[in-house]
Amino acid sequence: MNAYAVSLSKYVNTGILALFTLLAYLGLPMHQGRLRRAVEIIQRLLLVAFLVNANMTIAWLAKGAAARTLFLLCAMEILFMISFMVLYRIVHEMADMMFFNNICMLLSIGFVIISRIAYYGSMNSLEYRPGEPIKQFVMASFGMMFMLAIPFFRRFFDAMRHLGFIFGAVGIAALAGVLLLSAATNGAQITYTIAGFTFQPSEFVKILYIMMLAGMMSGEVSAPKTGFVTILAIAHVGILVLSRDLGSALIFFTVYLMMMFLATGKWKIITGGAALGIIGALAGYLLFDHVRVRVQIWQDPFSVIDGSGFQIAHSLFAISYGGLWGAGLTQGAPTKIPFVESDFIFAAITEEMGMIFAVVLLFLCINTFLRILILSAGYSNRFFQLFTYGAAVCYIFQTFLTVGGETKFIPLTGVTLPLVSYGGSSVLSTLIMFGLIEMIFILHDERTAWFKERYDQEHFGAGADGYAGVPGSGIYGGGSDNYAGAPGSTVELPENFPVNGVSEEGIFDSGDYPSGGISPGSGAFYQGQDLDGRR
Amino acid sequence: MWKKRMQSAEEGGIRIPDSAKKHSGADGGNEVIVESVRKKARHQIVFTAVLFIVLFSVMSAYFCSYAIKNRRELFDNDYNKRDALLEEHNKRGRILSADGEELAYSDEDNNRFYPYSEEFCHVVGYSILGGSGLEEYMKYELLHSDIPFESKLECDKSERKYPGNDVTTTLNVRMQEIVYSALGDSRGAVIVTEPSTGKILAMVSKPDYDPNEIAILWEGLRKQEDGDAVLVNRVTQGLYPPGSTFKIVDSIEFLQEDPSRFTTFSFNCEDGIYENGDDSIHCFDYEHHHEQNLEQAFAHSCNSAFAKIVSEDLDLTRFRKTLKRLMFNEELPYDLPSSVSRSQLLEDDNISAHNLMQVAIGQGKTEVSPLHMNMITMAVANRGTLMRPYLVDNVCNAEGKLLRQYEGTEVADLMDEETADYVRRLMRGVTRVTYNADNGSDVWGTASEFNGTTAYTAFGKTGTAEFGEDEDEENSHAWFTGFAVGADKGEEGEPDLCITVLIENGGVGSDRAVPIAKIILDNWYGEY
Repeated sequence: MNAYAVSLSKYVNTGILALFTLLAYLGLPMHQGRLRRAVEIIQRLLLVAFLVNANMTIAWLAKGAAARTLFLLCAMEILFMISFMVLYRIVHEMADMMFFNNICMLLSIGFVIISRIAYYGSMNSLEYRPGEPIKQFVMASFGMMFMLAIPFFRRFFDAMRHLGFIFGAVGIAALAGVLLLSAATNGAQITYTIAGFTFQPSEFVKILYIMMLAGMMSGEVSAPKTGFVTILAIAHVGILVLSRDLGSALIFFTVYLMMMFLATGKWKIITGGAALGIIGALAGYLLFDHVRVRVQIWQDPFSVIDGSGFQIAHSLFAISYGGLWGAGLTQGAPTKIPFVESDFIFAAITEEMGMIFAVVLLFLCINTFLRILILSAGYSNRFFQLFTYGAAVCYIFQTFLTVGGETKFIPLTGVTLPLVSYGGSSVLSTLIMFGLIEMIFILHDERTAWFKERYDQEHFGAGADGYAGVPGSGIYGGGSDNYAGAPGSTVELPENFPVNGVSEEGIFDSGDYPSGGISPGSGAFYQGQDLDGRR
Repeated sequence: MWKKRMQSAEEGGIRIPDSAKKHSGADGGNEVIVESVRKKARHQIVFTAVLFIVLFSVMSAYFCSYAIKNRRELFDNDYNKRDALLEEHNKRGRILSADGEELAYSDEDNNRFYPYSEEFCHVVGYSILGGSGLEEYMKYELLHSDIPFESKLECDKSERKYPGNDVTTTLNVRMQEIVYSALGDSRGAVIVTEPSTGKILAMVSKPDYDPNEIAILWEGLRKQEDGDAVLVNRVTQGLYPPGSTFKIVDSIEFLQEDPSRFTTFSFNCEDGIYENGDDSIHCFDYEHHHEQNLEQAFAHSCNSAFAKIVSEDLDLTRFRKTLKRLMFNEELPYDLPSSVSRSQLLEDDNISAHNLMQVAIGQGKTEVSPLHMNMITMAVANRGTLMRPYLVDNVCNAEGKLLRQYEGTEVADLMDEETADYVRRLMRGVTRVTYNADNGSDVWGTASEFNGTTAYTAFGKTGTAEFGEDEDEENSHAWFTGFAVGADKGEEGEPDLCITVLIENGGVGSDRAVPIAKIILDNWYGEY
């Protein structure tokens, strides 16, 4: 009977995630409105259903204290998700809640699989050690608090544009510090340990790095400036290569490349960068033993299964064992992979929840990426656009590196799967980065609304104040209609409508664009629930 | 214009958020982006999106197809201990003979039973302690349960484990029992195959053990002295000098180079000794074979004649190629573990005249497994084409629904048809007595015990593989390898069986291996 419960629950899990992801894609072009609200709420219900179903599956087999711990943890996770969703909605009405839903789903999958990995022993002798799940839960809570808090500081964000050099210097100092301080042990030297708490600076330096690149490239692009930025970027990548943190080095390099590509708009940067990447990889292969070892492991992990190929070989065992629908939670043996909870979480997910689940999960990651890109495409502020774009590339490329490494698609670099993997630094830094993305979105929306209001006032005179002031009435009221579709609101904007104004052209605007026209959030803004205390 | 607007707005009593003010160009902002640049940026963003969507799609397709394709191989890997997981909720499936007899089955507690005890011990193997034989090779199928969902529900209700899939082998219980008893207490190995398909009908290795008692016997068996090696399947993993059976290989090369040699070859074995420079080789017991053609030299197993052939007539470069084609010094095309045979000629580029003569008569450093010798014989019997030897006929779920059916597959043409037919004629000469018109005497083949069988016609080659220094019976292995055609098909018919017998320390092949082969074939064909 146990096995039956487990085997049924894996189909339910896959179904829930598939539906959630489908809704995420359907919601991608949706503008604010009743429909989108409904989709968001269904997604939240699915999220809760997933947490209950998956946690109960694990708890089903547990006895006594272990089951009680799991019930408690599950309840806390659900409470955590719901409370942050509600809180976020209340505090930041303009936030992109579907993006937030994706983040919560990824965190939940992480919680579940980390909870499962905390099981030791076989079916007959279960032992549950909740240390890691609780730690992860606490770190995610901290991260969520950051996410919640960051948008309050949005008024300072514009100034960050001018601090590019400082960010660069701080980042280089932090990375160099790790390199110098760490004992010259084998492998990657990438962590600080302060008072028993280990953290990985490269995760946080990533944010500063993207901020630096966005700030320095957002103005007019000139040759000396580009050169200076490039030197700073090379310094970052160089230190990471020396620290043997190849994964991070690759991420930093790619982020630089892609942001440069967007900033200059030159296609040859892609081809040139790819060529440079290949030359760099070849040089690394010829110069460093540890690079050669990794390539060898990638080509045939089974030939060195007793040593360096152990992890990847066991990752492949795990991935193939589950089949399409997975072995079922607690029915596989993912704990055989060393560091499964941080570097090989995707293999664990694939083994127990199945290949279909894993592929859908990848497409949820892609969805998150697309959502950020769409936001980025809507910004006319170069700094906003570059930062958001850089963060999107950073996120998706890291996902690609870790999943590709675990599945033997590319050589293993040992980075985490953002939001899913166990690891305080990783979760915290990703949530801070996503918090900044939300903040920029709120900032943008708010300004758009402000300019819109100004424009309307000029064109419609006093009437504008009139309808804006009456809640629930007129075009902006209620938040159910989108602006462009409202009666009598065919607005003709002047040419070169300035700065952060709503633009007419482009793929994502007026309808396509998630915040197209005026969002309900901004509608509320008109109704006096002010953000900056203007009314 | 923008500043103006903002001013007018402020004058109009609207407070402008500081952030907006700062942004609007009040600080000389450069954020006003020319439309063309914005459009371009969108192209780049769309490109980025497409790039990663494609990358992720390719990656997903790659890892899914890799995992599905290699599922069984990864499961079988010794480092992957997931078979223990399956055993917790599945009952290991049964191993059946070709005619449906249970060779191995489990009870509800996954205790394993082998009704035939020792008879199938090496080929079926055991499931615990790391596993061996079919138990280990087929564990993926045996441990997975492919019964329908409703049946699983019923198992849940009655709290039984899900029954694993059943594996039907190609093994024939009657043949295995004949072979097992024919071999008696002799230490050795016998394999019987079907050359037209590659099916393995019987595989016996002795000394043996009772797999039902493996857990109890284990420590004792492991501590045994080297010579016993009870756990080793001598058919596939034993390596022995081939002795005179290697003359089949010599003949294949000799005739492949020039088929007309079959009739033109002539050798006078005057003193039962062949000399080449300082080195010499003698025939068994210094027998004098006189003037003889190839058929007679093969039937007599004349060492001198074959030493001469290899030393003087063969093109060694071509011979090396032929040896490679005959799978020397490489993995055999066989699914379970098997030893790699070695040929001294392939390992020694400047082989001495002495060693070359040793190569000719299958002595020296040349070593083969009985399985390999059987495969070469199978190729001769099947007109040059080797069928891959296999043990598993099909896999069914516990309710008898066929899941996978295996057929014979061609490995390669080891020799051309003409050569195979000539070698077949040579092997026929070994098993009978012929009249030599030239000198008016009878030619007694070394396996002439088969002369005059009515139920079947035998073909073969004997071998006496000496090892060590003394020419003592105890120090040589006895070989017989050959095939048989049922009487209903006539002498030229397609062979039914291919049999290889090896008796360790058995002495002379014709004295020890041939009688055992004859008992097996007589029993099988009902020859009395």
